[in-house]
Amino acid sequence: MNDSNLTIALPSKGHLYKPTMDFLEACALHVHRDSDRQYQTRMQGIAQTMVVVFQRPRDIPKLVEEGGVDLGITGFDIFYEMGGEMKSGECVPVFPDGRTGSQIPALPYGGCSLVLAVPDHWVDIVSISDLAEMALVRKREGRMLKVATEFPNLTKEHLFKQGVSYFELTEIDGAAESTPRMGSADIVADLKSSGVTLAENRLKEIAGGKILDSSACLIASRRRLMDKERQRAAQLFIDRIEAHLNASRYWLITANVTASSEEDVFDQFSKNLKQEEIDLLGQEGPTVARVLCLKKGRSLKYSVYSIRIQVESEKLEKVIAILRAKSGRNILVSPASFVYDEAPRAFGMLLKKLKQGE
Amino acid sequence: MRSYLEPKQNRTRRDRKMLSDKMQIKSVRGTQDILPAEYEKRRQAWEAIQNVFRQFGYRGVEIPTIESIDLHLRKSGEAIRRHMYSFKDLGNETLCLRPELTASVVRMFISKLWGEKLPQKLYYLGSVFRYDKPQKGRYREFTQAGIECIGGATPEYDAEVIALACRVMEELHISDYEVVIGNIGIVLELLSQKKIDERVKNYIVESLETLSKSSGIDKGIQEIEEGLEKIGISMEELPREKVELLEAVKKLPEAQARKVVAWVIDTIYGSTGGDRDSQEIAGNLLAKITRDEQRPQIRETLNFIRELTQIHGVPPKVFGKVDSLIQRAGLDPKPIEELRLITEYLDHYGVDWSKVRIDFSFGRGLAYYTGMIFEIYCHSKNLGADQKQVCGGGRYDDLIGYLGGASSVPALGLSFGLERLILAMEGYLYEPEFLDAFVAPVGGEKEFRYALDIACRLREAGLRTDIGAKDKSVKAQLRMADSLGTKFVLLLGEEERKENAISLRDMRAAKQIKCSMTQAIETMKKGVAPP
Repeated sequence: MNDSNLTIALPSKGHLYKPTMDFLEACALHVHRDSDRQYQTRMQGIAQTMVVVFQRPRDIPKLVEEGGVDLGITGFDIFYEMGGEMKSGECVPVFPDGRTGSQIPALPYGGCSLVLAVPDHWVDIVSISDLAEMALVRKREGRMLKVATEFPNLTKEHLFKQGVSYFELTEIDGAAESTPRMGSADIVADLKSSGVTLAENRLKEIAGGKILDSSACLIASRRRLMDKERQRAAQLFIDRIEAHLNASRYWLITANVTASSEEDVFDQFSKNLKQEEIDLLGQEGPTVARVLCLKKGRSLKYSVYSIRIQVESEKLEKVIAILRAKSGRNILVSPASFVYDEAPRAFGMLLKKLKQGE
Repeated sequence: MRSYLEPKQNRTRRDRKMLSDKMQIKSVRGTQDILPAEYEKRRQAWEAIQNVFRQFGYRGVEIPTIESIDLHLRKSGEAIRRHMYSFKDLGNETLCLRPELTASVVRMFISKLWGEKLPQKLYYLGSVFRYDKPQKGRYREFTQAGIECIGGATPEYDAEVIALACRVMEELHISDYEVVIGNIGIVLELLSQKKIDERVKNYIVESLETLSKSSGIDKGIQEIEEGLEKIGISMEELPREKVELLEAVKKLPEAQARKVVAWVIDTIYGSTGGDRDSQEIAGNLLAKITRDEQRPQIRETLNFIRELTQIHGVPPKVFGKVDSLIQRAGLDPKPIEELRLITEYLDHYGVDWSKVRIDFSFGRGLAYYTGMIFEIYCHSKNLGADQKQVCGGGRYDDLIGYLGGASSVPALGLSFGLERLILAMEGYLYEPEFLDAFVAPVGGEKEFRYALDIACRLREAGLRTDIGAKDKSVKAQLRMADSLGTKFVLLLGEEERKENAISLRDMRAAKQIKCSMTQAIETMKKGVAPP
């Protein structure tokens, strides 16, 4: 592996593999893998050479921490199970930028939650505090509460934080949900995306039992990215992802309207708008341009203008309504592929974190 | 001249480049490397602390860094347990790095010193490990110096331990400190009198620490109530249907109610796996319904604590105020009597009451205390706002029983945070020379051999001596001696060798004399004698 190239580790298999490939493709970053046995390739579609290595999601945080790669995509749950930022400070989360109160969003796939679940016939246990009480009683009787999980660290931390002090963890490798029925554990801490698996195994979630909301995340190696050259290279990649995440919030609308001048278009649309609705006409205002009409017989006083607006997704219908009210036509709505902020937020946050660790 | 003790401050670009090399292995996060300057301070501080421990008749012990995790799970407070370093060794045994030392000393006492004459007064110094968020002045590995007085049953021992702690502060020339003394026994008695659930009890005891550190009692009590809410104890009024349910449940004898509920569970869920049968579940469900009844008792307890916090001041006046409150609550006055006696004994130790505060509502994070507790805060600006505490301790009469002692043995102890003490005493530590003499051969092989002989003689005479390299000029030798901060340099050239003499140079006075070996040793011993 040429050390001067920026290297990213991607999940080689599992539930994160395909969504990761799809997501990168949507960012116009092409990763071609001939077979699922190929463990190294290149990323196309970015102005620098980027090496891709495929690894098990569980191995990626460690690889990033040790500086074996510059960047990595893995599960947020796995990252924090392996110690998160706390562990050595060498692994810096980028998307999202932290576990609580993060300002940068997570990658938009691979969503699930790590939850505590108890057998559904435990009608007396509906909340984490019931569990705490029960654990204490059982400990006094000399029967420790047995918890099976693939995520012992996160589970332990959550139980302690919620006042459940006495329990034994059984670390297992998958299929935790079957352990209570087999008698090898009393309760489980397991990943849940729809809840069907829990129900099938006759388990139920309890209040206060959610340990972590997880999704895919991008992490960066402090050691590698302290180097200015590598930082610049990583910024291109991070900016691209951020722009794509931004873009999902917006639509682009173009429509034709009739008016006497550009200003007249603006007046017509802005006249009845309340102050808080002003951004319905775009982030800074609409782009208005004259349409050169081919059709004859148009009044000389009025011409056709094309109006172009960038609008937040949830406001789309409102804007369409306004356009229709002003007899807008040829209304064309298209998704934005990339929306770049004036300043790169995610990369800025990463730089800040790199500095903090110095 | 740059002090030899100061670490190199200004790194060059090349140094930094070297440091960012990816092959470089960093120290583990939250740990610190103790460089010579720091090491010297620690050595001096520990020597002073150790002297005080010995003055009070304590004997030193050392305990292992790794312990079985059960030892610390059994009675450590939540705060410590959550931050423990635990791991499985190759034999698949779950171990931990000690998060504190008291439990280990107690374990040692039970297994090795049981049956010895009491009290056993022991002292120790050692690293402890807690997986906290590293900050300035807070490390994941830090050092505790402490004592345990096992078998010290009566208040005179409490007074002795507090007096010893004050003595340490004075010995270290830290004058800007404050001692807070309390007795957790008051609140513990109240909690058992009110028959409050163990989990709630543990929570309230552990919250006392946050209470004493929160801004304002109302906010503190509110925080405790919010915390209780989190562990499922609501302080809100019970809704009507809950009250009705409670009434209905109370009407049925418990065994009958349990039978009915168990039947319902079996009917709905059929055969149930695991080791909890429907009877147990039914029993717990019924207990849960009645648990809401302890709310008035909790409320009363919190109100009492609120009143306790209002009482503070200097003994003996402060005791008058607390007596009536204890009487009104119908509590045993014993903890108060103990405190009163402790303060009287402290008078004999000449404790400065302007530095001591009695706080009856004061609590500590460790769950094993049973009686007197105290902490020492230091207001040095070198310590961060939440790192003012440099010492803490108290009485733990039940711990030995908990940790497997054949009977319970009263005991108490304290520990100092060495790193914080050193930050607080900044300015009082002197930087001694670490070398008394530098032997500088000037010339060839013969002179070097002569210098070797001289260096051996100096060391035998008890002088800390280093020897310069062969084939160096006088100028280079003096430069080396200067960088080491040595007061005396012995220049040994051909002339000196032939005359069997020494050219002794006093670097501070910049004076040089030629003399015999005996004279040189005499002069140096006088010259390096500590002030």
